[in-house]
Amino acid sequence: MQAYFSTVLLCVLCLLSACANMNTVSTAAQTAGLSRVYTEDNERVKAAVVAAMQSLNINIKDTVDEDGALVLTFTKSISVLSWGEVGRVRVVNNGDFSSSVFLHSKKRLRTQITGVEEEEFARHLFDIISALLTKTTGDDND
Amino acid sequence: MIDLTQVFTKTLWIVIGVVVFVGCSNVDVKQTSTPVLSAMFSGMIEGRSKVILEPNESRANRVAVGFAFVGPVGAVATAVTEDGFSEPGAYRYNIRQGTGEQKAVVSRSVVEIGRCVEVISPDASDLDVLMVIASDRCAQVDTTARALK
Repeated sequence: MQAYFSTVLLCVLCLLSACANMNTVSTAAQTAGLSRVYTEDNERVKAAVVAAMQSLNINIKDTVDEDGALVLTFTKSISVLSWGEVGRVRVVNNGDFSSSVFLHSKKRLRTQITGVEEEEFARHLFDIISALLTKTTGDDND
Repeated sequence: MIDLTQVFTKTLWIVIGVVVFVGCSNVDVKQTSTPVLSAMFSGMIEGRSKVILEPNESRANRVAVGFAFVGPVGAVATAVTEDGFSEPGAYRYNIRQGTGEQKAVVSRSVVEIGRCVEVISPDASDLDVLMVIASDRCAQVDTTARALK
């Protein structure tokens, strides 16, 4: 019986040791994740990204400027079907009226099937940004 | 005689039911408001300080959910999660409008002191968005304001 519980505990700890945290995404490669290019003024894109992030049911942890790139880190709350997710959004000025938005996210428990995938976060975010920029400029930036 | 096992089992099912009911609504990522980029006013940033906002998740909440579904191991695993998520940061900006009036806004935008910005209120929250605009737009307003005085 004791051996059984020890094995279960060991398995659970092995699973948990594979957990992603904020450090996992904040130290990832700068171009990690999914991206979309917006042919729009960089300051306008940055404003749209902040507004879009605020409109999602996520917890924006921090926003910083890293060598001219706006970087936002976020978490998604734990729920019965997910241990939550951690993510990062980078807004990079490409010059020539063009900006790239990179979204990178990980599930806290990497072996978990449920929860929000990176593609889902990206689709929601990019669509809201596009809609915001379209509303204000009349351009579609996909 | 009260059957404690039955009471415990019923209580456990009620707790699980409540957690499922509350938790399921938060599984997917979704839009909670429809933002718009319309400017309220513009001005020059004269001061900036870091502020900590109210988190939408707490360590206690994580531990409760962890315990409810995985027991003590889940509680420990959620308890050792980094504390960073519970201290979401933003900035408090002091902005001088062209009229000379000072306004304080809280925003997640990152803008240096001395830059000319448009203050945007994208939704019903108290958090504004700052968009850097050409500095001559602030200078123009400033000159007009001085001339009026």
